[in-house]
Amino acid sequence: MTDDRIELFLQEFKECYYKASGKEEQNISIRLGSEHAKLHFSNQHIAEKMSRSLAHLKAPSESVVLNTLSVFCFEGNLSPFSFPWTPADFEVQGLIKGMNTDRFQTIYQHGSGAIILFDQLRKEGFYYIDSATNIPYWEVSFPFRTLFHWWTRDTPYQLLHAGGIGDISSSMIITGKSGSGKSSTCLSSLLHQQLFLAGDDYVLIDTQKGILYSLYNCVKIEWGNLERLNFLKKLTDTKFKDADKAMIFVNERCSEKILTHSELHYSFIPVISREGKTKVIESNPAEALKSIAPTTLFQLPLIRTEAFGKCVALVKRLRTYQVMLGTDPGEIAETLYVFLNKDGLNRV
Amino acid sequence: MGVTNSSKIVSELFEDEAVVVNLVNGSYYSFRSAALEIWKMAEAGYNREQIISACENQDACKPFLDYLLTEALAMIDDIPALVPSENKIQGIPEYSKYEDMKDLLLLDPIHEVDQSGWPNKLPE
Repeated sequence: MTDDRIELFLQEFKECYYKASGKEEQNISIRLGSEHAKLHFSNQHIAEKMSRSLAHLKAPSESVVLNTLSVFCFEGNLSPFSFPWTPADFEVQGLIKGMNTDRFQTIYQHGSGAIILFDQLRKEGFYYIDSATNIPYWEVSFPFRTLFHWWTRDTPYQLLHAGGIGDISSSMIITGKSGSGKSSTCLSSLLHQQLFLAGDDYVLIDTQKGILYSLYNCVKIEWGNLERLNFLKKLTDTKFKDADKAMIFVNERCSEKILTHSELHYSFIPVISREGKTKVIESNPAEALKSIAPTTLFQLPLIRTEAFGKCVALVKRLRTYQVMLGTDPGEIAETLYVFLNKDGLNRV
Repeated sequence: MGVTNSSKIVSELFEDEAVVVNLVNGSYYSFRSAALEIWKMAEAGYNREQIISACENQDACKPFLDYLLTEALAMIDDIPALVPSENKIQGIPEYSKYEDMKDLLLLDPIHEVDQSGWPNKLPE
């Protein structure tokens, strides 16, 4: 389809949002890096599900001068409206044939059935699902990640598949694919009085200024790991007891532990070691790139060339280390804290 | 020899390693030693014969040039030969391929995802 035809379709689709919302509409402004986004929800039910993990970023509407992104999120039966595609048009990663151009990005989210659409010109994103009840637990943990990823295309920001911890003056990203010890390392920060958590799965990075921003306050952990990270048990959300992973909404349970933003200086690659004690070993930018770029590029659809370029710019400004993880989460956190402070002295 | 265009292949050179990513199938690569130098020459537009002549150990380097073609990271093209390089490529090519991301792209989105949806696979 041409951009003109997609634009016409989008106008009708946006009308569907307004029909679905009416008096129940909820509008929330959030900080997105150093900018603002306005999230429009058709009703309170969908707003609660899709904004819970973003609650720590809420900004008073009156304080927002300019929204650089608007998102319209809605549910319900859209009849007589119909989509200009059929299931035969769904491709790998849910890309919809004919609906992806330089200006527009569109996917069908397999599993939930959500339609996610972005207009790069107007900086408007759409998330539609037939029923908010069908929103999966993982979407609740990182809502709108695909839209945020597409929005970053024309900005210095990059949504990174990584965790982030630190303090007000310095921080590190914790990189690596699922199962590498990324979440455990990040969550150990909750045990340390002077360490704070920006996120355990996705964080937002200003790749030009080198700033780490928190995006989601929900952290997830394998149920099996809760035995080892026993201190987290009391923080898990019981509403998600049937989910594949335990969920903790940090903003609701220990909001003081959230690191909203910090200067980013380090990239840490966790390695699960059998030794008892945690050790930090110097690494290099190529290792950082291999642990950041592929997992970021292939977890999220489209705009991969741009994302790769930002990952490269990022790793070249960071110092990279491997952290050989010990068995005691408190000791892991203390080792990282001591490193951050000792190396901080060298930075001054 | 030319490197495949950036909509399909992206790469970055570091001091002693090149990291190369195939955006189409999710494979990524690490090139070191002679493999790094060969990749640099391919990126600069040197042709196959020029690259081979720059290699001190030509028998060890030829298979790597074939590997670049097999993996669709480079193409044979008819660009005119550049001024011969004076650099000599020493050692043997050291390279690794990583395919841990490939599954995310090759998954059949309709039949192979479970109820939790993309990118979670059905249990084996």
